[in-house]
Amino acid sequence: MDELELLKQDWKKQEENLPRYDKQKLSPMLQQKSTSVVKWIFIISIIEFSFWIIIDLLLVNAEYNDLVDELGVSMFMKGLIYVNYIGVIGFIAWFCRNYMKIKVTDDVRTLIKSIIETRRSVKYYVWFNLIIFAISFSIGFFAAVSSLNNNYDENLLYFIVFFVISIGVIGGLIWLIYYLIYGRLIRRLIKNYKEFKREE
Amino acid sequence: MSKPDKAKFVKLLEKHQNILHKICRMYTNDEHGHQDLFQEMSIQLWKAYPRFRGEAKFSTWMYRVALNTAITLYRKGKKRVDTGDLENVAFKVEAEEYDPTTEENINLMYKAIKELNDIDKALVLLYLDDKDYPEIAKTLGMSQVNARVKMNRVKKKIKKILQAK
Repeated sequence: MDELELLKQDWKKQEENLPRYDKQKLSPMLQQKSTSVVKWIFIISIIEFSFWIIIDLLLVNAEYNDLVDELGVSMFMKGLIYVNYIGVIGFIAWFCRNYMKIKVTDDVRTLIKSIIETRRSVKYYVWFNLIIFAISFSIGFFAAVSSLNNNYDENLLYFIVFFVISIGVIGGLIWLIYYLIYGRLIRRLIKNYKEFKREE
Repeated sequence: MSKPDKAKFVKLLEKHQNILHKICRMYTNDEHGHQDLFQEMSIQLWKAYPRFRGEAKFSTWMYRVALNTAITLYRKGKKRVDTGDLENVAFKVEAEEYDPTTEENINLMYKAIKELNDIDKALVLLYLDDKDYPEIAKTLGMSQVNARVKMNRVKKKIKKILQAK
């Protein structure tokens, strides 16, 4: 006999040994909070969207505008701000569209794919912000350096080293945070999705 | 959307709870994990219940939501440590006529299943619950051919474990 057929017979008998929960035990369960991975992805995504929007609002103020005017890069920085706003709206819309697609009644593969795609929209949003941040940081930095008339050549190397270290430290910290948060949350999903892809 | 009838839902949950317990046994290793997953599946079912239109049987719909929760949404399962002797807690072998070899083989098979990945476990679970290949393929989101190929692989793996003992 096929091994699994033998197991199937035993599996049916297992029903007799299964626990039984009565209505008094079942009803309160429905009031408990879910620990679903989708719920956590949603919460973290909202924090991410809010974080970058708050950073933008904090940075772009009257003093900032005076500074970019002084450095002579005002047109470029304003253009970058518009690009950023369009990006934020676009990414939020993309995120919402993907999030709405998550349905627990879908087949397993489709559900995993929808969750990964939702997460991906936030990942690209973060990359988009990092690129905008790096561009504006670089422009501001080099505009500030070039505006220093005295000792420009002597300090150039020092400035470049400082610039590279700053970008490295910020990038490293962000990578670490993401690795820790999302590594834990979606490692299992990615592993399962790869299992489906392997069969195609 | 009208407010769902909680009493009716709890009644259905009570009636079909074996489906959830069987999934828990497949995906958890101890009593605490079992209760945790059972609760999460119940919450997800309750959240999805207002959209249950009755196109499928309640038990079929419940199976899909519960399995999706165990494989995809549940977060705590992987934190637990796999211990070999826990299989005996989860499954009590009941051979009609006591046969030590049969009992040992069945225990070995349960142990082998516990070591499978999440998708293969789902495949075995559906197979053990007498679902046919079209339904297995539809539930998991793969082609029937892939479901058969994967199932044959799982069978071979289990056979190998039994032969190696």
